[in-house]
Amino acid sequence: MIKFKRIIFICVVVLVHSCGSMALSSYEMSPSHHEPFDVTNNLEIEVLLVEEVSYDSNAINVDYEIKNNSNELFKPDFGKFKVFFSIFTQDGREIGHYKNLYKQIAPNSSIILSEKINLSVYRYKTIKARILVE
Amino acid sequence: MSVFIAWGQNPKQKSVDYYSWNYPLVKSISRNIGFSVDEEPLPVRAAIFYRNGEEVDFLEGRNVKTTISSSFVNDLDLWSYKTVPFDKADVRVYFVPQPTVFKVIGYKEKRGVNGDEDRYTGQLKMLRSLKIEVKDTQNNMLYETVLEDVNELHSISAFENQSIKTEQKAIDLMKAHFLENPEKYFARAGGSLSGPLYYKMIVHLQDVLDVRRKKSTLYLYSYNKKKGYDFSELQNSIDQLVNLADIDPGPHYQSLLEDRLLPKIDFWRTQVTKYNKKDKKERKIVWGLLANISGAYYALGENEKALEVYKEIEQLNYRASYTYLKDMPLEQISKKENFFGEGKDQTTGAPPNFKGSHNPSYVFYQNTGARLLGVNEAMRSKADLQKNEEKALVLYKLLSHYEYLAELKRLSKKFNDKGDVNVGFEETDAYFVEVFNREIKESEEIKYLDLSVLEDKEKILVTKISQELIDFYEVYDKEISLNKTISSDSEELKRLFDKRMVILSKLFLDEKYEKRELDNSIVQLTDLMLTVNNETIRQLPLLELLLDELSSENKLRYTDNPRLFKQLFKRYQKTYVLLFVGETTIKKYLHHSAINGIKEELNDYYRFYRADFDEVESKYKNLHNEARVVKILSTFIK
Repeated sequence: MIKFKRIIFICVVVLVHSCGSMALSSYEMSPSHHEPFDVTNNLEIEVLLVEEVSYDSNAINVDYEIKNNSNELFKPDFGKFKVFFSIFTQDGREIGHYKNLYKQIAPNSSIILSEKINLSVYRYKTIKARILVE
Repeated sequence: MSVFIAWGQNPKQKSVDYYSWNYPLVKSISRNIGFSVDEEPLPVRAAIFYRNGEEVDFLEGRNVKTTISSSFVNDLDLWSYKTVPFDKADVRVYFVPQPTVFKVIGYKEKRGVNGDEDRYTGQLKMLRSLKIEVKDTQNNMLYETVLEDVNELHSISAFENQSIKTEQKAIDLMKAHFLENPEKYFARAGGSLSGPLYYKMIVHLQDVLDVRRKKSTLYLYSYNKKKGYDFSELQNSIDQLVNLADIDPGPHYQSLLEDRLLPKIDFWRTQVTKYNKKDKKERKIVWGLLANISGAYYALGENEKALEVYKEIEQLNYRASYTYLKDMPLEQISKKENFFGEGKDQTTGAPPNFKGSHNPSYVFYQNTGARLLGVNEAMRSKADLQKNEEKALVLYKLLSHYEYLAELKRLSKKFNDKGDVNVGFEETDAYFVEVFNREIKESEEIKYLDLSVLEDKEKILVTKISQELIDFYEVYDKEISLNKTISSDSEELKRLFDKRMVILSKLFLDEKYEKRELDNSIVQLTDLMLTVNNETIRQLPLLELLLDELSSENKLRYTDNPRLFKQLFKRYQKTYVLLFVGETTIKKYLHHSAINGIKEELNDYYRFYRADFDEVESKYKNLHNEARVVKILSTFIK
């Protein structure tokens, strides 16, 4: 049993090591990674459509578009980019909603995404969206 | 024997307490008053005070601060002024404590067989003083005084079993005693003003500023039994008047006084006619009756009538030295005229407009030094304070659920047995699962908190935390709920999904890492929002939530699960101790006036902390008060 565990351990060490070297080699191979993607100038977010979802609980369905205005491929690191929605309700409340952005966007093109946001007892009035980098 | 008879005829004086009007020295220019307390630390010194007036300092201590608790406005309880924030006040009272002095003196006294031997006693006295200035808005002085209080701390009257013969020796001995441990004495200087000087301050200010009723004494005269005379009715009429100060001196006091005194005046008047003023013995009785009538008129505030009666008393030519019967009404008349102007009487029957309505939080503190929170909050704009409260509410909701869910998860091990299973639990406590399910549902409210009052960074953090917090505990909630009995197919299906989700989360998510991230976000957020941020202050919301859980009728019940109830009650007690007792107390960050402002709120927490488990359901119901925790927390908001 101990022997078996040791074999697994060695396998894991070899695997981790090779992954590390792979990451390192790919890093060296693509010089564009030295300059991080300029989100503020190149990414644009726009809410296209907000629909109230009435059949379920009180929620809204938000369709939004993210444009990549640069000539580079936008390739988000895991957990680094988020879309932040501020939903303003009819009684003056501001509710926040937070969504991970993990889709790649080709140069000079855009993608359309959809997000369902629950609003509990509050009534939707307007919405704002923006992209956050952590 | 004749001495006894003469004694028996003499009127016997008896005193009755009542409330008379006080006419103050300072004329009122407005009804708004404000108070300012200077908390500048002052040097303490010790000095020798010689009998010839010479004064020699011999030691100086470090600077100390004298404070005055803001609750003094309640003790002062002015009737004719309303306490307002200092910057809005037309009459401004400044309290400026003066440096404390330790006086060493050689007190001289004559003793010996013939009283011809000079002896000295070395005395150590502490002199505390307080300057009071009353000014108008243009800084014109309306009144000023310095109140002092001397407290004898130590005395030495003998040296080597001999009396002390010279002043210098007495002083030297006392000085040496003082220098043995000066810190012991210096430690008594400063601190919160209390004792005689505090009460002097209260009474003095009431006298000088306020049109109010104050306790006074009415002297009445009665007679012992005497042959040929029946004084029993007269005696009764006086005995009935014992309790004039027991009634609250409110707006109805004057009519109550009239109801009690006017019939007596009429009665004494009829009695006067029964006796012969010329008769040497009966003259004394008439004198007593007239003195009663005059005194009663004075007590009613009818000073002119009291003086008229005094004219009759003068004609009797008896006890001419009892001029108080004339002096007191005259003094009242002049005081009243000085205050209201001639011929105007605005007090009789005047209601005590502002009695019992004073707000201690309006007291303004200057030179508070160290950065203590919650001082002079009343000077801040209302919008500002409200914004802080709204921010505090967001923080309260977020932190309370964050801490409570963590606490429930910690307790989960005691109630649910994991056994050998990889997913779910071998055994779960149904009541615990119910409580956890409910808390998960209730914690959903943090997803919909109003972020409009927050800064940009705070908004993002609050949203991030609330989503991650719920995601994190939802998985656990699903896991402990897997053992629930199932009654329908849809529930069976849901359980299957839940089980799949639990397995997937276990595979792909690192629980410890997630929790650590959550904790970090909480610290980041509280760093942004709170002036003081530590483990202790972050527990305050939990205290309120536990109080809600333990005392509200529709939440936890002792009888349903005593073990869980006890565990959470213990947590409440621990949290209370952490927050308000001992070294970690959050009170150390607050100015004393701020602590005074939340005294009642803290008292509720304390009462529950001292409660017994089994009594909670019957005696301590529905103690939850969101406004309370928001008020305390808002003091710490940036």
